Amino acid sequence: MCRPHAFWAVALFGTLASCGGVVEPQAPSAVRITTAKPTYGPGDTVVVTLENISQDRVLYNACSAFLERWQILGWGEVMWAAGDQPCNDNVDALEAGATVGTWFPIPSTLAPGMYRYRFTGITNTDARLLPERERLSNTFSIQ
Amino acid sequence: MRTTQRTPRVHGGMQLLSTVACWFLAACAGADVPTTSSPAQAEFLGSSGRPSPVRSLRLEYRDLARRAPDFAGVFFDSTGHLTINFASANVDTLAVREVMTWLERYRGPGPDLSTPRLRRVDFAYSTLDQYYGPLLGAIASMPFLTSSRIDDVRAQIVITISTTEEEPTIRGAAGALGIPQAALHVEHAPPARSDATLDDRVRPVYGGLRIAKPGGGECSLGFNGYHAVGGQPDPSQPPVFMTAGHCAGPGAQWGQNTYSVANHIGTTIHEAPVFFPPACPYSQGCQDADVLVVEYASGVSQGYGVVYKTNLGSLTITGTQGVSGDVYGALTGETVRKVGQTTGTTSGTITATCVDVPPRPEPGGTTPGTLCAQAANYGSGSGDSGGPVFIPYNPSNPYSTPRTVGIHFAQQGSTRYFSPMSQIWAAQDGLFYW
Repeated sequence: MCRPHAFWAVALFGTLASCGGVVEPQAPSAVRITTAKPTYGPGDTVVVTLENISQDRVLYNACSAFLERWQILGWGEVMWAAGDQPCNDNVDALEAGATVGTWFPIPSTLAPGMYRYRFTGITNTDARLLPERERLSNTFSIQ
Repeated sequence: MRTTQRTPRVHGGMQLLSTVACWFLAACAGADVPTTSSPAQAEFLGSSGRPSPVRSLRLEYRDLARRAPDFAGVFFDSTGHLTINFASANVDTLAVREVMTWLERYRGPGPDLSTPRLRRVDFAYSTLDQYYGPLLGAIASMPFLTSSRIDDVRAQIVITISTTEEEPTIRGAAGALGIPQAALHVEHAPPARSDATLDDRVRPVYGGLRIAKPGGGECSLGFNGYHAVGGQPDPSQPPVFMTAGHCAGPGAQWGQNTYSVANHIGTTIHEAPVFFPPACPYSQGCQDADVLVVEYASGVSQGYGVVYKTNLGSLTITGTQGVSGDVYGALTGETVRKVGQTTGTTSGTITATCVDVPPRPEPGGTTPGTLCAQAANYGSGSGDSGGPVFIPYNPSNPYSTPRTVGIHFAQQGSTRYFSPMSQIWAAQDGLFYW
């Protein structure tokens, strides 16, 4: 059941989005990052898929990401996506057309609202960080 | 059950003061020693000119050498076996007792002190110590000098230089001082290309460089080393390097910087064993250290004990730094550096020791938990795994730095984790020498 403040957060997000507020980034052209579901609850596990939709290999670290929350005036970092879990500091390769899955826990204390993941370690093969729009997941709600 | 942490080797950490204690020895034992001085000597003496109450290991060594004149060094080999070097075929039992008494006082009693192995070498510590001060005075200003030490495993003076062409210069300086050539070991650590970065294809291959697998996964190169036989380096076998264990599976091929036939540098030959409950608290398994070992392919230019130098936060290589032979580790509060292909050189302090780091998710599986890691607050990023963590040379503490400390592997918020050398030795069971 949707709690009232969660309802208002989602409603406000939708309103801003429909009014042309800058809440959704430009569509990616290299890496598509999507959550398995559009809505999660506190304590759930979010399964995230990274898909290389470019023609070139990209390098990534599936653990290095921040969870961001829409805070009316913009997106703000809420937590390191892996929470208390450490992340290896290596880099893996994602070939053109390939997909890989990762997952993050949602703490039970997280406030309802609209969220997204911002990955910090997705680069091209020259180790150059991809533009931010290529490292953002879709938005999803936590109720 | 945690694997017992092996006592750190102490051979490099014992390289402390030279000429000042030669004075000390001269005064106490009538030794014929040089009387040159340098600014570095002053910090080891109080205003009274007497040794500080907190004695350096070098002063301890010198004192020990006075009581046991043939003493030439003491260390734990790669298998954890206590070894005492003596420059005599017939070791006096009183001398052994002196060393053992000192060891028990210095580091506390323990079962690992029960069966020392005696090893015959050519030069006593006191002899090398007399040679070392004048030699360092003669070569200290030479631009190709990378580092120097009395190595109590080799029982030789070890001089690291940046070009092989200058070895005759070093040996000539030693000869002019009457120092036997057999007392000297000269190592080569060539300078880096000045315009290269840690991401580039760079030769020789030293610590901190970008390394990659054929599939494209990447990490950073840690420390170069040797296979070990009986706790000693075995140069007759191909050299090896270390990186983080989660970077690859068994038999993985490695290139520097990217993988190609032309960039191929070696093959993974050893991974830290994984063990499970009840020996491990995690159902996914544990490792003593998150490390693997790669054997170099023939013909790859590399060198022992060298890490590329960059400015803090920079990837541009400005030179090399010797980080060899001083395996000790670091305690909470000490400042360490890490070099990696993503964030370059970063600096931070040790914030916690012996931290059990739980299993980490990785695409297609899970990295086992890593036992007794150390935590620090230096910076790192994806791709820095495997990078060397060390205490760099400190001019004000020239005899106990640099020190090899560990291999970087993970981050959690502002905390960074590395496997310390003691855990790495445990994981490798003495098969390699770093």
